[in-house]
Amino acid sequence: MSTANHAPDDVLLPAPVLVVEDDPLMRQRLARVLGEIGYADEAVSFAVNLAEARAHVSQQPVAMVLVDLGLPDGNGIELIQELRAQDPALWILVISAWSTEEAILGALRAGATGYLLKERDDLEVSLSIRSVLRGGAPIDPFIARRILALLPTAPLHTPHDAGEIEALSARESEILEWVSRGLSNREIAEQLTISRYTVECHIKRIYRKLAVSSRTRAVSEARQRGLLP
Amino acid sequence: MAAPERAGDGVRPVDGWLPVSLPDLWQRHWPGFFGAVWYRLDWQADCQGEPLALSIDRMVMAGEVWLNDDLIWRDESLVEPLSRSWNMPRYWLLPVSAQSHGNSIWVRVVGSEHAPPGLGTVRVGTPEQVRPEYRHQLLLQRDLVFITLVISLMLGVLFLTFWLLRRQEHAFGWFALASSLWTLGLSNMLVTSSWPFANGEVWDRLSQVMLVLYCPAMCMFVWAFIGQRRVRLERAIWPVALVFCVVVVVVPTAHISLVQLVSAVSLRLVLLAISVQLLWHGYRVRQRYLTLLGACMSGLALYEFLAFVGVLKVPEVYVLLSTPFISAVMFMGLAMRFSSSLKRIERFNDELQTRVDKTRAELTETLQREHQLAADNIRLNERLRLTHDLHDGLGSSLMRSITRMEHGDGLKGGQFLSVLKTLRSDLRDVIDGSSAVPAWQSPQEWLAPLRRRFIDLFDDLGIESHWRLPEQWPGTFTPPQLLALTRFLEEALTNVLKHAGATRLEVGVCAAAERGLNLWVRDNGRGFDVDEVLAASAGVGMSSMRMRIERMGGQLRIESRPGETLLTATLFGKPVSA
Repeated sequence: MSTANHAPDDVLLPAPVLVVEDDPLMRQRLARVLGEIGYADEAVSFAVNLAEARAHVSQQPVAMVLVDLGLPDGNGIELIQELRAQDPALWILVISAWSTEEAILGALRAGATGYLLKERDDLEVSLSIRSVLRGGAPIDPFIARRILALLPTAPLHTPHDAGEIEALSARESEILEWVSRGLSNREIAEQLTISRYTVECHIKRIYRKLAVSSRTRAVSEARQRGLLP
Repeated sequence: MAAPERAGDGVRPVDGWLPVSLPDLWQRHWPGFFGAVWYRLDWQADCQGEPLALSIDRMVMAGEVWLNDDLIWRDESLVEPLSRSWNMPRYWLLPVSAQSHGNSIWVRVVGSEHAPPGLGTVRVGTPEQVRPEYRHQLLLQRDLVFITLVISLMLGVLFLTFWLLRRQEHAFGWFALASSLWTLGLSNMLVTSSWPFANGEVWDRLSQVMLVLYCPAMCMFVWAFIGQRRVRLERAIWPVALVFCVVVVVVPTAHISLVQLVSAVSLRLVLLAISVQLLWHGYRVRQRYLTLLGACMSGLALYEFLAFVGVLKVPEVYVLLSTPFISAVMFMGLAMRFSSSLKRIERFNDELQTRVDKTRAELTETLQREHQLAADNIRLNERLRLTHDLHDGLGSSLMRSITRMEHGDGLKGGQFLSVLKTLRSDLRDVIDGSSAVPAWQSPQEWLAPLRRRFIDLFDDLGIESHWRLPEQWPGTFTPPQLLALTRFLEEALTNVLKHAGATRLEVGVCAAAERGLNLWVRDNGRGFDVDEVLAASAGVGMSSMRMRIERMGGQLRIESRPGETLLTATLFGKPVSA
């Protein structure tokens, strides 16, 4: 992260930000929301399609990317995969319009850090972004339920080793269970007598596992098809 | 020369000698005499010192042979039960030392009443001359008969096995029976003692009974083989055969040979008839193998008959030989039928396989078509439902908004925005509703997404929120009802988030009367003037929520004052059975 601004409520703002969005109105809206959060105008740049976004990223570093999924020259998920492969620490937020469960899950598996729904009010969007930046990982109950079905759960009290990196730990699946019942991160933290920060770390790790599991699956599939040694 | 031994003491008679020519049946000379008879053969040895051979082809029934005064052969038993040498050729080398210049062969023959007693052909000569003739005689009288019997027995056992394994093949059973009867009937030609009976006569009667029964068994076989039941003939033939059997059993000993003759002639006649019938049937049904079989059988039967009555000058044993041929031909017929049945089965299997394949293909096609139809149907229904939802939800919202704009005093900017947001939410409802609506297990599960979405936002804004959601549904609610409540709650929470400036929020679900459901939202915000909000249509969202809930048959109560605002939506569920 090259520079970091500080928002009024003392949130660390990763900058510069790239917004990949083809709809001009939505661009304006996001610019306004980001401005409200505390971003300076010059810290936010825009790309209207995948090609522009790739060009921009190759020329200068970015710390956070907001990606729309439906872009004129392709799906944002491709871009998310590329960016995640280049920089594991990058903030990638999906801006999704009328999105389905599958689209969101696909973006998360490609490596997105979180997602926003366009249909929500400005206030909600800005609160969501702020929540992400403060370390929270937005996760809806239905997504939690899907992840529980998708990833295997490691048996309790098994030490973590590298081979089982794709499996959910017992604590992680417990957290997902609570999320799917609608509890907030704070409530989960109270339930488990851990800090809210720890809960959010767990959720971010779950996201990483989701991305890793999809990547390892892709690699093993490529090996099977002879595309990789 | 022959003379009867009147004394019965086994001593050569002195007088009563008659010249006879061999073979001889002594009933011609001494009718009614059943003792022993001596035959004497005299010859001059031309060149002495040369070994000579003697062969006798039959002694009826038993006998002893002397060369001059030396006994050279005696049957085991010369008194009842007699040994049976009647069909047994014998051969001896005559010791040179026992020969003199003028030699006599003395043969004492012991007869019985049931078989014409006498002596067969006697040959004396060098072994080189006599032995081949003896061998030939042995072949005719013993070996061929033996072979015939073995073949019959084998076929009998074979078909008996077939029949035992497959009882519905009556032809097999009858054939087995006929073959066995034939074997037993002829076995008296081979036995050399009357064991286990006290009298050789029993053997003859028994074999005769067998041969008599052979006749109907053979007829039954042929009828079963060509698949034609001759009910009347079948009913007639068995009694006739049984009567014949009784006759054979009870007939006086002296007449046994007559009965044998009658029986043999009628047996052959019946065989001939049945063969001709087979031929005729084969010709009529145009079955080549049946015709062939009938022809063979008829030919053989005819030959046998002619040979038997003496028209053809062939030795008697060749007559017998035709029977195993008939058996063999029958066997061939059965084998051919068997193989053709197998072929039919195989062909049937192929046909069956083809038909099964075809049916399976048709079934697959039908199932695919049905599946396609079902899929089309589902798609159509889905589309219909979507149309309904669009019409009822988004459509009616649009209509109401248009009506308000036309008949009201126009909309201000904020109201317009609110209308649009309502429309957006309605569209979201249609989209959510058109994806499969899950059956929520509990109010907790139902409101989990909304709770999760807002609770962090409230946390961020420092609003303390409390959710009281029961684990059981108080009644049964339709998805549109729940969707309306969800939309109401969303609207209410958004309002609190944006306008109320509250620090504490309570959301609860509880049971109401009449299986009803109360959803209430209470905040400690600044509050608003309820009438003003509803009338001035500033809160388009809220009033549209109210209308929506009322359309569902529920009600929305709004109470607000500074420091406490309470919204309560009530809906009434259906009985669980509905």
